[in-house]
Amino acid sequence: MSELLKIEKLCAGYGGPDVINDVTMRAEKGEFIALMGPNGSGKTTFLRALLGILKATSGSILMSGERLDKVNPKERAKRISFIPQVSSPVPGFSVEEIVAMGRNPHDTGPTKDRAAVESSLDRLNLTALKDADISRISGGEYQRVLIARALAQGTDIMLLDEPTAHLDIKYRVATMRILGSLRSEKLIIGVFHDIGLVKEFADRVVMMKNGRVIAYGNVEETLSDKVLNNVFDIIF
Amino acid sequence: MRHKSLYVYIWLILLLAAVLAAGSLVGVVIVSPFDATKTSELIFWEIRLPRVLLAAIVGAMLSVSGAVLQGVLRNSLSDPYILGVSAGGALGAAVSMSFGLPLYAVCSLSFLAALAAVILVYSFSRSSSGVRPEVLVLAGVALSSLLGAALVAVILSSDSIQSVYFWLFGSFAFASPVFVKIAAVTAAIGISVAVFLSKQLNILLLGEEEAISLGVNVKFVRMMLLFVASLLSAASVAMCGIIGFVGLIVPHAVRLIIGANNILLIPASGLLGASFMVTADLLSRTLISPAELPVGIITAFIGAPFFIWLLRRKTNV
Repeated sequence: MSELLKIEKLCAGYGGPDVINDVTMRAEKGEFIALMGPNGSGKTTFLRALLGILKATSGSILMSGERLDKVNPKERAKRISFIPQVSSPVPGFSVEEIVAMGRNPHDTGPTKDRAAVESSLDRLNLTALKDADISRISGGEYQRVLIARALAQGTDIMLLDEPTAHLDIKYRVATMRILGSLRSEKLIIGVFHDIGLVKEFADRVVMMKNGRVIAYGNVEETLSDKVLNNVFDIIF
Repeated sequence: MRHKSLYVYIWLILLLAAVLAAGSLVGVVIVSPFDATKTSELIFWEIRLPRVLLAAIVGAMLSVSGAVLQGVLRNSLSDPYILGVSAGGALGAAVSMSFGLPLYAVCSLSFLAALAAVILVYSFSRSSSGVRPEVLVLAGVALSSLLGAALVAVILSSDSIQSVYFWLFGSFAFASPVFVKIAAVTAAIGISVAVFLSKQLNILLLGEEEAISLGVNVKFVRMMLLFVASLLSAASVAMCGIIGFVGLIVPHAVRLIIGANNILLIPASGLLGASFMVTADLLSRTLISPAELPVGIITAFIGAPFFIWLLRRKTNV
């Protein structure tokens, strides 16, 4: 059977010169991969290319052997979900309404949708908050709502863009624990900056600099002093 | 939550029924459909009822147009009047009327001009990080003034029966059964599409990236919704001139009561907008009776202070 995700020599950009170059990686279900690198190294561009927001200028992304650029937005959303940075949420929506948006790509009918939403709310301990306005809950709770929405989306791959950026240490650890607990059933790829959390929770690290992958492998190797020194220009 | 919105809907329907009855019966003369006299009967069926129905449909169309624009542009200050969509529609209608074109052509040109206005304002205010709210409103105001000036020039140079007052402040005085039919069909199409896309519009509110990741065809949905908003406001303007602020006030009032979920918000805005406009029209023809105030004056007196309040709240002055 072919790999869940196979990226070959991917190049992508915003119309001008490519921002990411020759990115190649393979990943399987059950992995938690941290995407790291300095600001401007192309991590977000890489996520955008995976989400289909940016078109690849060359190279390919294959999911279970199928080219992702040949798949329409709805089908893609059945396979890849996205958890953005916690920003100011849109007031006037309830927690349940936001989680239910995860069912948008599916045409499985209201009964199955409701069951998926309820089980996601339950797994993230949000059932008691389901009627709360999302602008009135804490950042940590909102982060859980976004994870619950991705869970309701029922995808094999979950992408995250700095999910812990605006959270205090308590919620950072809590978020990483939740993601760690989902690992067995998903492939999780996320942008992270916190080396300590990555060392504790991630299986592998993709280290990027200037749009290229400069180290890819297990946590010990990619987060060695030598690599960090090279990437961040800091002496450890 | 669901129970609450059900109650709100029941109240909105009752309110609309009450104002429709009041609007049809009250005026310079009080009439009833059961009156024995021929004159009363004529006033009721040929003048009063078309006028009240047109006001209700136009109120619904402008409110839904406002709710859709606020969602698509992710900007609560949006409204067909403020963004210049109404002025675009009015200019298109006035130009085609000055060439003596038939009503369907007037409505079509009005729609195209309104659509051009909304696309222009949208592209002015769009940057890589999304729509910039201040630029959107300022570009809208500038475009509105420019199109308004062109509109006055067109009216003054043509022998149109409708006056500058009609176009700039709106009136239902020209209402006829034909207008009601055209407005009803347009409203039915436009509001149905808006309701059909309301779930996608909710997701669009989260921002482009999240919407794409949730499987929304962002470009298509956004374009369809801008079409619908332009269609609804252009149809209103072509038949009763520019009536400002309705699309701003009504969706906000509804949002305060039942939240931002467009699946509930859009139909409820239509209902409250209909009641609001019938009431504004009733005031416009009774306040200084037997003379008549343009209905846009009534909505501006309520809407402009509301807009300023909203602006202060948004910018946290």
